[in-house]
Amino acid sequence: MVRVVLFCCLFFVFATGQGIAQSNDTTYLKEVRIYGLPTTSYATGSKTEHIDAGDDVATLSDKLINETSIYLKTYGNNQLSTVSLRGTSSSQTAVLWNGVNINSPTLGQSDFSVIPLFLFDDITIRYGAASSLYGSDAIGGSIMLGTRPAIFKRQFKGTIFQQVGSFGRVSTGVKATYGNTRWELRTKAFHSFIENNFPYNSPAVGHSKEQNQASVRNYGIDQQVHFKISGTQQLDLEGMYTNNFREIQPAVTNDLSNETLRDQHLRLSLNYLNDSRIGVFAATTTYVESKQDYYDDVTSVVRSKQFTALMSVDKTLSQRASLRYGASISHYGATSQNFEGPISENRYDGFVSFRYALLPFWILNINLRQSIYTNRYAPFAPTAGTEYHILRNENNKLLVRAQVARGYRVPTLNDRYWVPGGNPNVTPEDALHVEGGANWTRTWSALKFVVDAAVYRSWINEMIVWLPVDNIWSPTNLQKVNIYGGEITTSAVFTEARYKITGTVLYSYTRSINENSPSGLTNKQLAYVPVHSGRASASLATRTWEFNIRFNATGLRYTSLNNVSSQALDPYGLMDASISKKFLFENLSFQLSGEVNNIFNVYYENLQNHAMPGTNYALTLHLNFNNQ
Amino acid sequence: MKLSGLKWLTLLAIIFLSCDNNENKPSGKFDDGVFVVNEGNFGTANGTISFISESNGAVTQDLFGSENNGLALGDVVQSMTIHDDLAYIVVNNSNKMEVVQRSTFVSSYTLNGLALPRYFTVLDGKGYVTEWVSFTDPGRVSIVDLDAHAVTGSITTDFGAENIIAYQNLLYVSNTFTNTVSVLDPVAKKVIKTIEVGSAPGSFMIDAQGLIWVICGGNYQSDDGKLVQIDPAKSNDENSESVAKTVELSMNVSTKAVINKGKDKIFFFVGTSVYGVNTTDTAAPSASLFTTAEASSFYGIGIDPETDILYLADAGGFDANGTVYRYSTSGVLVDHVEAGLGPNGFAFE
Repeated sequence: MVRVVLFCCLFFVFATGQGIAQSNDTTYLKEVRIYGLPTTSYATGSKTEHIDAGDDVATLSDKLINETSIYLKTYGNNQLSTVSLRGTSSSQTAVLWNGVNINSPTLGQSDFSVIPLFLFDDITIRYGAASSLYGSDAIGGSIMLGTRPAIFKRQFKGTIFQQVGSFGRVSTGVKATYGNTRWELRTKAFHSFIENNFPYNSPAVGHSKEQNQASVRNYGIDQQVHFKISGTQQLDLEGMYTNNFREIQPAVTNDLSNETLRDQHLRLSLNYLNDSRIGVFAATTTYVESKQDYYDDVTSVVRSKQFTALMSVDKTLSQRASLRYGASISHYGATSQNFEGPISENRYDGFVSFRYALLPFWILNINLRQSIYTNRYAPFAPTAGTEYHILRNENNKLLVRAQVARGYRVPTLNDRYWVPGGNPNVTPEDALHVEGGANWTRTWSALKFVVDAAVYRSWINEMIVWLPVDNIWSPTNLQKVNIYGGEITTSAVFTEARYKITGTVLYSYTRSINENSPSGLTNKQLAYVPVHSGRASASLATRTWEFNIRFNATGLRYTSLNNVSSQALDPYGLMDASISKKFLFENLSFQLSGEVNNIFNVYYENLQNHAMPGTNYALTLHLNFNNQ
Repeated sequence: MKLSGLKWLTLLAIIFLSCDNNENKPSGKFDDGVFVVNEGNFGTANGTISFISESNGAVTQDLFGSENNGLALGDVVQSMTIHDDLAYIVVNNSNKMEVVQRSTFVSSYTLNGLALPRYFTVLDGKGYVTEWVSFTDPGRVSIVDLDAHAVTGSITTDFGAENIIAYQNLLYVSNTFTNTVSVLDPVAKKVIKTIEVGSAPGSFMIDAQGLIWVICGGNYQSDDGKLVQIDPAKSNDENSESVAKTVELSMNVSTKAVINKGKDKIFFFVGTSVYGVNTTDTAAPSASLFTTAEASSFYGIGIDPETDILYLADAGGFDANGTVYRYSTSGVLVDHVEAGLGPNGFAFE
């Protein structure tokens, strides 16, 4: 009987087409242990996903496209890439580094193509609104870029990554970790270049062309120093610099484009942890500086600086209850040709979270936050969440969860100070979010089967849109959007002595419905939000061989609120496959991988009239050494 | 050949109707109506031309795509000018001009290699297209050989070379990043006079007296828009004052304006309000002619030279197809129809 079930599961996984090894099982934060210092998670009731950053020189954009069903609006291959999490706008996802929002204070969003995965260890995606925990922008969700906790043991290990691929891609990365019982040092550096001279045949042009303005150079370095002061205290220092220079890929119809963009980010953080009598005390100071040089006949430069001091105390009150509270101060500064001089502002946040186990299998959680920016109050942001374990057997776990949350987005500096048009009176976007979900994990000896399902609904009010008035664009709080949808993730892992088979299927249904907008059209799906998207993957791994195949499907996306097929991007499906072989030596291992992407050479677009590449290849070498 | 009476009548009717409406125009799908220029979203090459049929008000969207196998017209469609059998469509951010058969919209040729082109006109068998060139270089007018389909030369004017009008063998160009109008001699291929008008000059109009009007939008938040009347008789004399009259509007106004069939009243807009100024006026109008409450913000204006119907384009937020409102010159709403994405102007037969 078990075998039959097993067979059916595998059949299901394979029949849907997919592929591959997934290390991003959906899990739910319970406790995060930062080197012996437990901090409790207050994300109870929400869907959270972890993705291992891996050892590849790739961008956050590439990773999310390949391994989640999140939609990214990419302006070409390795070009500007903005996220649409659960049907929200690119400004409605908070991106945090060391607990601090690093979305551009001028644009209010992040370009995921300039966030190098190689310099981070793991990524946590928290779906749904959660401004109580993450502050501004956490409406569609929040993405935390993380550092793996230091382990303070004797070690010396490293990785060298080398890749060559189609369209002049050459990427190199080096990582090393040195540690003893007091210190842990990590150094990472990478360089990546792609000429991006791919051929394409767009129906809008009617003949084959070669991309000639899309090259991208990306490099960066990260240094971490972790110091164990004592059994209860720890200090972490991190410095990161990234540099991305790209030719901006034009629309397929445009031939004489010469726009380029250089994006530089400097990120510094100092983190102090102390497991004291008052609880786990954490103090973080971060400094984030960004500089963008946009060239289009003339160079325009936007600089922003952000200094944040964040303090929190996480206290376990009893076996059942824990409490976290804290405050932060942020100072922002920005300059731009479109500001009437340097802009600066301060933001103050206070927050408190309380988690209580009503019964051992029933947890309640409340989070509250109040933020003040330039002497204005952001919407008071509460969240209430709960998790109930219906089944708690070792081999059969079923959990149901629910939460209700408020999300907000403080208007960007551009929204308020841009000349011409900036509107200092524009108010924060305000969202109410409810969601429910279930997670079932079933194990039959060698087979582990996980299903996670979520349904949600969001009401977003006061959405900021820029509108032209006599040729001057100005922001107003005009738009209203209601979003509802669901996601289902199914994975099966079959582990035998000599091999492991993994299959995953993800599907997202997203209705992002416009309720009010300047065009007067209501009840329409927002542009660039696919109703259907999904992916499937399968992998077969032995001790040294690994074979992966995956299929990503993205539904039709309208390009306007008219919701007509003549103003829409066609659905597409992309099939990728890879094979790798590991060569193991005593302290050393090589892994050689070959991959082919877009096997069926599908022409597709993620931004109207912006070509994406057809079939392409890459050859990768990983060299790992580990001297314990 | 022997024709029955009925057939004779039919033939006569056809001749009559053709003469009445078409005056030697070729017959085609898009002979009898108004073209709407929809610039589309910047960067995504989704600009289109729509056609509003005069007879039944029906709208055909994306003429270029539908008549040319789904090809994209391009990125930021700025203007369309009809001359003889061809329509010249200037595509700003695609740096080109698409030339189509005006009655069928079948592509004739593409003039590539322009630098942020804006508007086009024809004088003595030659085409003239204005170009911004860049945001750091002065604009220019490029001379187009309409037979060879090539640019044969160019005349540098001033920053933001925008609208162009051919009048009495001279060309007038409004340099919209500045406060000047350049007067060009197309034979000598040079600027013969630079006239100071108001900030951000745009559309030209010729009034009943044969004088040229230019609308100036004004400096950002300076409320200094104006209508400036230029005497073309002074164009050849560098030292004489070309400005015959200035009507201060005391508000920032559209850089687009039109003149009625009688050539004695000028219409422009501010937000969703349309204003009328008589060519004999010396002061700003005390009130708007009408306001379209349901519109978001007007982005283009046109007037049918035959029917004197005003056309107002509302681009909304550029997130959906815009709307064209039709009004009589006395401000009575006729109707409204759907346009394409970001309607910014019109071309009339």
